[in-house]
Parts: sequence; structure tokens; C-alpha cells
Amino acid sequence: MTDVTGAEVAVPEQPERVVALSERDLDALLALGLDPAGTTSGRGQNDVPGYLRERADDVPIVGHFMQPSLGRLVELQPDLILAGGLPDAQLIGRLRRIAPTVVTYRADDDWRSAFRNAAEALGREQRYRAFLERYRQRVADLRAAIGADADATVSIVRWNPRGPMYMQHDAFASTVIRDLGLARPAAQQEPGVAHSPPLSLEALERIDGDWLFLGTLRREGDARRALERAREMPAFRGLRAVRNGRVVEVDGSLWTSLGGPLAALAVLEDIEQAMVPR
Amino acid sequence: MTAPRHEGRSARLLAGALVALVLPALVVLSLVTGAGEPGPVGSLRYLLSAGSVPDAATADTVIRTLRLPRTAAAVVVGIALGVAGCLLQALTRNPLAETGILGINAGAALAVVLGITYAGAGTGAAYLVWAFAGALAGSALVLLLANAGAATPLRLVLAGIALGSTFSGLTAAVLLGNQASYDQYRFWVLGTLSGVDTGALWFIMPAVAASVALALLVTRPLSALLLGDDAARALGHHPRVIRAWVALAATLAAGSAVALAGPIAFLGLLAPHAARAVAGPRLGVQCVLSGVVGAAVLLGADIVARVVVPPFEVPASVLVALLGAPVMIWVVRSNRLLRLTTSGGGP
Repeated sequence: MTDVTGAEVAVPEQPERVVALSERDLDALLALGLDPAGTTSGRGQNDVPGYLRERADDVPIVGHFMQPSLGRLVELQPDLILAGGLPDAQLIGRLRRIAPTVVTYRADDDWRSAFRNAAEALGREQRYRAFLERYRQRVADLRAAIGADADATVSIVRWNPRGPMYMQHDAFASTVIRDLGLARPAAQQEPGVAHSPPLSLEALERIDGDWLFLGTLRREGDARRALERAREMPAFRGLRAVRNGRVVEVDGSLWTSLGGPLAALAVLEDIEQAMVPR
Repeated sequence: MTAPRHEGRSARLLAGALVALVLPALVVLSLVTGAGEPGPVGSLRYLLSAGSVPDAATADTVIRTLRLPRTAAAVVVGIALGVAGCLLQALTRNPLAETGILGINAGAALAVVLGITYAGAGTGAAYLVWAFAGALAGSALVLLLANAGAATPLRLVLAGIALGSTFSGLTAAVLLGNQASYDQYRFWVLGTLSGVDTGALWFIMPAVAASVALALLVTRPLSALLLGDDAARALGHHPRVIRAWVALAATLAAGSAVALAGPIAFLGLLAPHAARAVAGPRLGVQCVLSGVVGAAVLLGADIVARVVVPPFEVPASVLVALLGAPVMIWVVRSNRLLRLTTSGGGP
């Protein structure tokens, strides 16, 4: 097959020992029902991302994203490497000497195209189509369940008390929100797949919306108190979403991640928990 | 012979008066400048009318809970870094000395990383405590190491550099194994005054006040020390005791600064040089002026940090380097780099 770098990759018929070097590839692999032979730790994490931990707890870690240990990779004797999002041509060249390597997406591609490329490399297109159908159904059901809130604006923010950042229009979680037909606030429409620079606290109204999903990075130690602390800030207390009790604290590593199909389902799950009246 | 001296003095007086006027002007500018409402005119009206304007609630939130704390923090941190830099350059007889040199910043960074990684530190208050403790511990270790044997300024600098590198290495080692910590740390390490907590400010104020008072008390014996240890002893001072007090004052000041705002490099180097260029040879005057210059530069940098890419913020630490460099170049170009060792009068 041809991957996103334009390289012609000779992928094996039935790959069995597949290493997924990015979070999104790991996600795709698991969604397609394959046991990964190895993976890297998630961005900003020491382990596989929390939302995949249940399924991928015992997968060997071969280093950090962008810095896989080639030695450990060789030891794993993979017959296929999925290396989405890797910008380093030299590193990709080295990987190709270890095993056929498919670069499944470029940094600004969306999760679906990455998922499709992974499915093609693994020869599991049928499962891919079935999964997408399940996802579409889930989106339709959830949209119906949200009901009156279907026109709500949803703000997605990575919280930092010294300057919060909102997720740009084409970031991963933003695309899931868009699939649901929910809108982002007017101030969060700029294109881009990452987060904004730290906002001035004087411009905090830019993170306001009918709903405010606040991603915090850790939920242990006193980092747990991040939201509590935020509520002590008059500027934060004045937000409409805060006054209406529509602030939802979510796992920042999921909501601000470069997730794949299972991450998309996990985001839908969070939205259901928060927005569907019980 | 006397005429140029007088000219020099009046020029210095003028410069001093200017600097003293600039700071209040910057404070007002800081209170009326920001990414949000009210704008400069509305803010001024709010300030002049003591809060009785139509949209007072918003103005109150923005000016009282956001702009006032960061303005106060910029002044306090700027004074602390300026005074600490001045003391450290005199203490080490080294014009390259700055607040990083006693292992203060590196110690604070290491403590913050340890706090994040092993104690779950994640709020401003927790960073503050860890950073302050780390700064004190780092400086104490450097002093212990330097004072084992004959303490000289050179030993102090070398011990500071050695331990500072060790702390930085340990910090990097801990971060390498903990990506999650790195993700938090990278926001702390870019020193900023945005979102400064008023409680944190009150926590740090006594330490800064104590360090400034201490600095004023030790500048006279410290000037004697600049003539050399033997000369100082001949004048009846005890070099070791003086060094310990100076180091304590500098550590308290620099530790408070890094705890409140994160590391802000370059200011502790720049402020004393700029102050020396206008203040003349007396160390006490130099250190006071250095504090004022530090406050003015940091406040100026923080104002610019709010207006370059609104509604986003640039870390003040980045702007201090950008704005400070031209000032430093001016000091160097204008031949005003007075030699430290001659500041006691005569070579």
C-alpha cells in the first residue's frame, strides 16, 4: 500500500506482530481487534493513555512517542510498524529497516483517515467499516438523547490557572463534538488541530459556552483541586457555564489528545454522562 | 577637578528622579492595560472615581482581582530580583553573577519537579511552597559547600555552578522518566505573572521585606568586603559573617521571586548593571536603585506581555530577555560598566 508519505510499503498479508508507535495507531489497532506487540507511552504520560489502559495494560512500551527505542523495537521482532504522526524522515527510514512501516497520518489529518489507513495496512477493512457504522449509530442516538441541548455551544478547554487554552476547531475532541452537531463558541472557531496559546484571564469569556468541558491533566495529589481553585477566581465564577452549573471536569489527556476511534467513543461517553438528563 | 564631579552627581540625581517617576507611571499603566474590558479610558475612570462607574462589577473583577495582584507581584518580584542581583554581584565580586548563581533557581526547579512527580503538587500554592523550600535548600547547600574550608568569592561561584548543574541534571533525569510531570513543569518554568494569587503574594511579602531590610543593613560592611578580605578585617569586619548575612538576604529575595513567578532569568543581571551606571559608587544606593530598576523592567515587560498578542499571553520571562537586552547593550556601549572592585572608592 501507499502511506501518507507517498512511500510504497509491502505490508504482510496477515500481520501478527504489529507495533503501534502513536496513541492513535494503538487506538486503531485495539478497535480493530488486534493485540499490539508493542507501543509508546502517550503524549505527556508515562504509560498508555488512561482510556486505553484496560485493553492495553500489558502491551510492552518501547519508549516515548517520537523517541522509540530502536533496540527494544528490534527485540520485539515486529512484522509491521504503524508510525502515524512521525515527522522525522530519518527515524522512519531506520524503522523501515526493522520492519515494513506505514505512516498512517500526518499531524493535521483527522482520526478517520488515520483509522482507514491503519485498517488497510492490517487488512481489516471490514471491521473498520463495521466500527464506523457503530460510531455513526452511537452519534445519532446520543444526538437524539441530548434533545433540547442539541443547539448548545460546547467549549473545550485545557485548564491552566495562569492561562487556560482552548482546543482549536479541528482538534480531535472538536471533531467529535462536530459529529454530534454541537457548535463551538464563536471565539473558538480558529482552524488548527492543537490548542490555543495561554489566554489572558481578562479574556476568560472566550472559554465560556453553554457547556464547558474542562480538561485537567491529573487527578491525584492536590492537582485534583484544580477546579476547586478555579472556582475561587472571580473571573471564572462569572462565566455563564459556571453560574449554570454546566462545567464538566474531564480527563485532559483524552480530550486534548490525538485520539482515535476508541477515544472518540470515550468522548461521546463523557458527553452522555454530562449532557443527557437522567 | 571638582566641576565634572558635580556634573556627574546632578546627572545621577536626574537619572534617579526619572527612574523613581517611571515606576509609578508604569503602575498606573499596568492597572489600565489588559486584554479585556474595561479599556484604558474606562479603567482610568474607574480608578479616579474610586469604583463608582456604571459597569463597576466587571471593572472591579478585572482591575481588583486580576490587574492589581499581577502589578503588585511584578513590583515585588522585580525589587527582589534587582536587590538580590546587586547583593550577589558584590558578594561574589563577579559582574556576571545573577540570581541563578547560588543554586537558587535550579534548587527551586528541582523541588517543584519532585513535588509534581512524587507529591502530586498541582496548584499554584503547592508550587509556591515547593519552589521556596527548594530555593532555600539549594542555596544552603551551596553555602555549606563553599564554606567548607577558606570561603572566597570564587569558591562560592564555583560551588554555585557545580550544584546548580547537579540540580538541573537531577531535574532533567526526573522529567525524562515522567512525561506527565514534564507537561506540568513546562508551564511553571516559563515565569509569568498572569494569574498570580493574592494569597501567595501575602505569603511572600514578609520574606521580601525582610531581605530588603537585611540588604540595607549589610551594604556598608559589604562595601568594605569589596576592598578585599584583609582590608575588611582591618576595618573591623568579619568577612565570613558578612557573607552569610548577604547570602541569606539574597536567597530570601531570589527564592521569593522564583516561588511567586517562576524563574525569570536575566533581570538579576541587568538591574544591578543599569543601577550602577547611574547610581555611582555607593553600594547601598546601587542596591536600592537596582530594586527599582528591576521592578520597572519587570512591570514594563508584564504590560507588554498582555498587549503583544491579545487575548493571549506571552510569559513575562520571555519579554524580560527581549526588552532587557537593549538596556544591557546600552550599559555596555556607554562604557558605564563600573568595575565592582573599585566601587569602594580608589582601586
